[in-house]
Amino acid sequence: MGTSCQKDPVDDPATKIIGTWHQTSQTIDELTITKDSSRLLMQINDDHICILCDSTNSAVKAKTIIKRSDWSYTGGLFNLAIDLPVSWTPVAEPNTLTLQRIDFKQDGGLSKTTLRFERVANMEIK
Amino acid sequence: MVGLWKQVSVSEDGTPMVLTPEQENCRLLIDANGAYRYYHQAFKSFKNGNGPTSFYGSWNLLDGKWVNFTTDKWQFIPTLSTDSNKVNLDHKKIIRAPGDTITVIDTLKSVQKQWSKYHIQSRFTILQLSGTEMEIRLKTFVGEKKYALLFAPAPSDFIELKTVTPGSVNYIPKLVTDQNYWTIRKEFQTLKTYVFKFRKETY
Repeated sequence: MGTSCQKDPVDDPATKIIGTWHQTSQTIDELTITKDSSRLLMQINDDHICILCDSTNSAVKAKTIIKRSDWSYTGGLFNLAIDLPVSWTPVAEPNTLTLQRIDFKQDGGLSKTTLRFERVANMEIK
Repeated sequence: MVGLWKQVSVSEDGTPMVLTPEQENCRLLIDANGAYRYYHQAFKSFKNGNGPTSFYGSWNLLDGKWVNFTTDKWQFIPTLSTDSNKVNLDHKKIIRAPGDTITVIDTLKSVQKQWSKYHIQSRFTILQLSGTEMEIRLKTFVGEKKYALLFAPAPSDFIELKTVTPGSVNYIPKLVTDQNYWTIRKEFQTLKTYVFKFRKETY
């Protein structure tokens, strides 16, 4: 009784983004550019910890390729603690995830960055 | 409230404020998660023209009547010498030529002892909020408005910190001297009412 209005957890966007995702492309204002090497692989866990595989030169050199960050889903936005105040608008399908962020450019205009991911098998990242 | 808002005017006690070109181009990008980012060019000339233009804070609505925005502000904390009541300043020696040394004010060292940065919320009264217009009112001290990111400060009220580590904040309110100490102090004791008007933009 009184639970008919509750969302089915499977349809909850926060549930849909949980999983391990491999980045397939990055675009800025619809132009394809090099993939974002700070998160070529991203594991969003249901304990609200996100693990990012950071392949940037500085991370590889410092041997800090595994990054952990708290995450939340509020107001329809995917908030990754290490990215705040920037947040991502997620569009999750069973096997694909698209994340989009908006930033101010130096001239005051806005730029739209889109990261696309495909789901890969879950794995334990240590 | 969520969306992109361009600041179109600011008034002080009912009188429109004259905004510099750097203040004119101020925009708020308000996200539904309680964070917001804003853009202005007050510090753009710093770092050889590559100064910061994007800033951020948090926001929330209260009873639909008020909106709280957190912003950076600076506390006015210069000290006066006990014997002469003059503003304490740090000095440094500059060698102009062998045997020719002069002592000058160390602006960067002094100014960092005169202002203390903090991040705090300001509560605005919502005068108008529609799909296209937003008008909000804040009653505060002149100094609280001037030496804060509410939302775009006047470039002349801030200076560049040139010797900070990369990634650190490289702007701070201007040097306090004997010439402007009492003026600024009075600004922090004078209450005025500010009305900010914004127009919604699509993106």
